[in-house]
Amino acid sequence: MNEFEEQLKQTLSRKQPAIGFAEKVLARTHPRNHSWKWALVAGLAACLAGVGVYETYRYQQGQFAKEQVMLALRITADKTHVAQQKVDQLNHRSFLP
Amino acid sequence: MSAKQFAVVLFSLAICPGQDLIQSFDWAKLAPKASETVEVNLDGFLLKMARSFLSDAKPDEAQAKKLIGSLKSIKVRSIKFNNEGDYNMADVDKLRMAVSGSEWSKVVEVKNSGSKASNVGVYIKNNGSKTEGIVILAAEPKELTIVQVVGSIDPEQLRALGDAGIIPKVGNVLPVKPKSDKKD
Repeated sequence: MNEFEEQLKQTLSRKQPAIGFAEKVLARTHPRNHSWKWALVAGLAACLAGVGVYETYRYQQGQFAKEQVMLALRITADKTHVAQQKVDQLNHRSFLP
Repeated sequence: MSAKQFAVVLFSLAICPGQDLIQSFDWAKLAPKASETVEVNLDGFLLKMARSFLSDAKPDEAQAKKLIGSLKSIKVRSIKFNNEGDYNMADVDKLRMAVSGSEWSKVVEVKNSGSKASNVGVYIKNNGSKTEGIVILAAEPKELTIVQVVGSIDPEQLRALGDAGIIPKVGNVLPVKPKSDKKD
């Protein structure tokens, strides 16, 4: 056996692991508890969804209110016009011989 | 309704000029005969919402925004009927009596009797020089409309909207405030 083979044998020979090695390996292989991160992500997503729903509702309500205002003003104008026509008719009649 | 109950109702209508005229009317009984109904209920919150959605950049919307700026509520009920006489003119008279209190000024009231009876009136609630409300009552043969605007409204602004073509032209029946000449 030459010197090289001797070195290789020593290198590859079975060695006892250091004290606490098994515990360290087991600790590393244990799944870490990430549930709080997922809860945070879910909470943020729910908040964003809530804000989105609220903003959509608010936008629709605002648009509806705006349309209702314009409709009410149109009807108001239309009916004052009807009143004006009635007055004009009466005035016209009173001028007839 | 007995005469006593009617008197109580009449009294309550007469002493409360700011009361909800539209709510006091029984619209449900007219609903089966209606061919088309328009209902607008804009209270303070919805008017505020509308104001925030009316753009200052668009001239028509800016004018409407200015007009509704000091309004408390706008309510409209308009019902179209298939046939003449589908509603009772006596009901309209009850509504008219509600705006006959001392705080209300009758601007225009035109009554046509006969086969095509109609009843159109414009009433304004004044507090000094301020207009605090407008009620428009238009009882046409096949259509009944009530508009109730509560709050300070400037008829000139409404007329400007009509002149700009944003809404139909407003009749001259609405009073114009005399312009005060400033003297130094």
